[in-house]
Amino acid sequence: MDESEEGNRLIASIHNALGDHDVNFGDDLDGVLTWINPNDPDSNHQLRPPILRIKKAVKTLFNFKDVDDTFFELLRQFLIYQTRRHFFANFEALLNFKDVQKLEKYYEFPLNFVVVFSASEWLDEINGLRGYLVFSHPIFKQNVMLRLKQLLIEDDFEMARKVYEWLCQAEGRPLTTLLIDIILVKVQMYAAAQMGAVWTKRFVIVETFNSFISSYWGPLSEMLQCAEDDHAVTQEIYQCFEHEFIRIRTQQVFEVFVTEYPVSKPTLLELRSVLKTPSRYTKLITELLYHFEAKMLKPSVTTAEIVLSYVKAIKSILTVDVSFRYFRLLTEFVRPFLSERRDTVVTFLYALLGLGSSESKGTSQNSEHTRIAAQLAEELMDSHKPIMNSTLEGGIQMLPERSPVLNAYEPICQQVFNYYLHWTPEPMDSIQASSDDALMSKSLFDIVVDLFESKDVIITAFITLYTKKLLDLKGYKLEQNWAKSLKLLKQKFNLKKLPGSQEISNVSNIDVMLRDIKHSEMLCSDLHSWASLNPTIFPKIISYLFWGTSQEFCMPSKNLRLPLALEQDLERYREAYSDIKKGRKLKVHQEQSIVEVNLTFEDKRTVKFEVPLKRAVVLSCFSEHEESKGLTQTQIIERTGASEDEVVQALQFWRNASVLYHDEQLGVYKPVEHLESEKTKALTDTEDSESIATGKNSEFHLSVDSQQREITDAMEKVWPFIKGMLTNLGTMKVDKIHSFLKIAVPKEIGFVATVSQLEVYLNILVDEGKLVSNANGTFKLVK
Amino acid sequence: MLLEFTKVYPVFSWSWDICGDDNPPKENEGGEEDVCGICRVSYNGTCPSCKFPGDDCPLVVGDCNHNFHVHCIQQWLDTSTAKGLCPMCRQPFSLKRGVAINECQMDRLAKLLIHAQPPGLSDDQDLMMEQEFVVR
Repeated sequence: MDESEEGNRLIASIHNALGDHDVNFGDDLDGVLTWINPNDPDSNHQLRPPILRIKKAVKTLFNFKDVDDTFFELLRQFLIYQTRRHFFANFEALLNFKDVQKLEKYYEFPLNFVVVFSASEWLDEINGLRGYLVFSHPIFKQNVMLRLKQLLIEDDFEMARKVYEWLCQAEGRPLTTLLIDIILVKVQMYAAAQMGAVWTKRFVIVETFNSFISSYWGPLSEMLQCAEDDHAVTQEIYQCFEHEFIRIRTQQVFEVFVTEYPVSKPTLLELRSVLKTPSRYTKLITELLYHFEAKMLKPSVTTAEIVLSYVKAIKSILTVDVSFRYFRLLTEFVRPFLSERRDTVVTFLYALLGLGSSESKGTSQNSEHTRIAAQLAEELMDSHKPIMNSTLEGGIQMLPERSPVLNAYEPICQQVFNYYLHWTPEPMDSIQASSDDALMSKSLFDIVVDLFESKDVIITAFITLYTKKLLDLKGYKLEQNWAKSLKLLKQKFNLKKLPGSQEISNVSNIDVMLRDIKHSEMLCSDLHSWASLNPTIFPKIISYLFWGTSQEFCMPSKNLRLPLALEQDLERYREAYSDIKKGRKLKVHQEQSIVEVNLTFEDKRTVKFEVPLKRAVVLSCFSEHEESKGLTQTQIIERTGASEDEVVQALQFWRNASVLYHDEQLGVYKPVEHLESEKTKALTDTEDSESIATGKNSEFHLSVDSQQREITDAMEKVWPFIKGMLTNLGTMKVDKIHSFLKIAVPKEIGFVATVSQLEVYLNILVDEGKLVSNANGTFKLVK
Repeated sequence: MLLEFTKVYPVFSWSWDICGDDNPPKENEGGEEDVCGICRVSYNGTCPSCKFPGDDCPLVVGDCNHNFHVHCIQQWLDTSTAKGLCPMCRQPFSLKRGVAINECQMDRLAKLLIHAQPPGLSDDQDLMMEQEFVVR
């Protein structure tokens, strides 16, 4: 049947139902029907109150006494029919909640004047249409739900409630799930905004939860149709906040654990109280490792920075994880990377033993480095004390946070019993933490030491540092912290418990060294009372076998010819020593000797320098008066007996110090007797200033070269081992050679090279024709 | 320019003056350093029971030109199988005379040796050896 036909049929039936009145009233009825018809947009109500004629007609219609219910039933049918017709013709154009509101108003408007429906009748009808709309117009439904979410997020609860109620009516049931989903999103956003970078507060979850409840819970609970004080629900919401807290902190784990460490301690403590399941820990630690690798384990990051962040991370993990299960993970993770770095142990020792960053070698360090080193030293300052005192003291305060009385409806004593005696789940962590004494007494020092493959590495590095320190010592007084650090190291490594081991004998070398220093001091004060001896000489007499594994003391070192007076002075000391210590003789080691010199120039300027003896000897060639003509490099080599390298380096040093200059015309070096005139000369003479500038560069290159040479020299000692290995096993890969060498090379020779360094060396051997490298990365001997 | 050494911090290493002259010892010829024939530790090191070299663990030069840490040879001579012989060449062991190293050890070693001799072993031969050890 055609739609309009059905309409016309209804109109005709209505006219019929009106019976006798229709003759007089038919036109007015048509007017009313048109006015209420939503499908007649040009001549219907148009949301305006009816004109007088319609008003009158309506009034007359409802006043007919003899019109029966059929008429009104038909009228209702007509209205429903027309509304539905309009709705089905238009519903696809509905996109937003606003549209449907407008439409419903449009339908309802005439009903205010033509009251044919009871409230519930009309509502049923409208709800049916709403249901259809929601069911068959997914885009619209989605839009409405989005709108609801948006309104809730924007805190427009009044409007949100309207939308929500509309939706519930359309679906014919309360949409709790939807609402809860949206509330969770709100919680999430609220938590993100409130907890974000608040690392200094201790009870962020509770505070955020409280403020959330006080600002939003009223309207939300109303919408959810639950009591505002329904604790089961609020507890759930609290859980959500807890969960969010963990999620946010897991995301920020690197900042919290490393970058902001000491500041972020409160939040770490809070994190500990909520991280209850192993899976949460795992997630947190995994995230930390991931960030740690991405941010720190890169070639561009200095060792000190890595070590600092490592230490901070360890401290943080220890704060969060009282079961001590996870920190080893980080150690294992960082170890391979740090072991590739030569300066790790040294960096570490300086910080760990409080040797002071200022003493750290390498003057090129800038303020940033010093700052990091100082920070590291601070972090590690009390590292040798047990963790119990340092990290866990804060943990005890958190207990009162949980009150035994939680539920007002249960007898209090029962709750107290439950609180103290029934633990759900079984608190593994806390029991472990308080009972495992071995772990509790473990200090950060021990944990950090685990970072290295063995104690040997640390001890060897420590001994090297100590040896260098004592050799460079002027006079005989060692700083307090060095003595303390030795004591600490001995105590930490329990050296007394393992008598006879290699480490002990290595560390006791330090005792011998210290004794040598002490004896030298006593001897020196004795000798200075001898009239024949020069009191400006402070000899250090060492038992060379105990001073480092390097062969430098045993090897015949090439000594320079010293200035006569100095030579005689030293000779007298040697004789005096042999007099006192019968049957012993002394040998001077110029390489290790240091002198303080005073330079006086013709312009009355005097400069003091503290330099290695050899440098001073090179300069002393210029000291004599007749040498105003200057000296060539070859002449200096002849006079001192030094090697060319040594002379070049020394000359470079004195030139940089403005003590010597190179006379380009004569090809000789001369002392800078008049600094001012020389300066102006240097300014005009660009070539010369350039060469000074490049002089610095070349010194840099020299140091790089010497470092490389040092590595190659060290590797040459292991060449016989490599050769033997390859003779027996044929071809081998670098990794394998490396691990074999680690096992095979005795400690006295020492093998500390990394895989990459070894590879460089092997490639050098390939270049030298001693080895052949194969395409699959293996090496074999040339036959 | 005038260069003046205001302070000098020379590093010396000591070693036992074995040959009494300035001939370079063996070590300079590329071979291993001379070691005590008993404990195989360098002359300039210590015997196994000592920690500090030098005064605490001196060296002695034998007449047969074999050198030992005092403690090592003393322990050897204490054993019954030693029979007062040098463990290296089996000649009767005695301290070389006119060597600076031995000078300060002479009395001390003799005293120590007599003291250390177990009473059960003081038969004629041992006594003779001992005297020989000291006197020759």
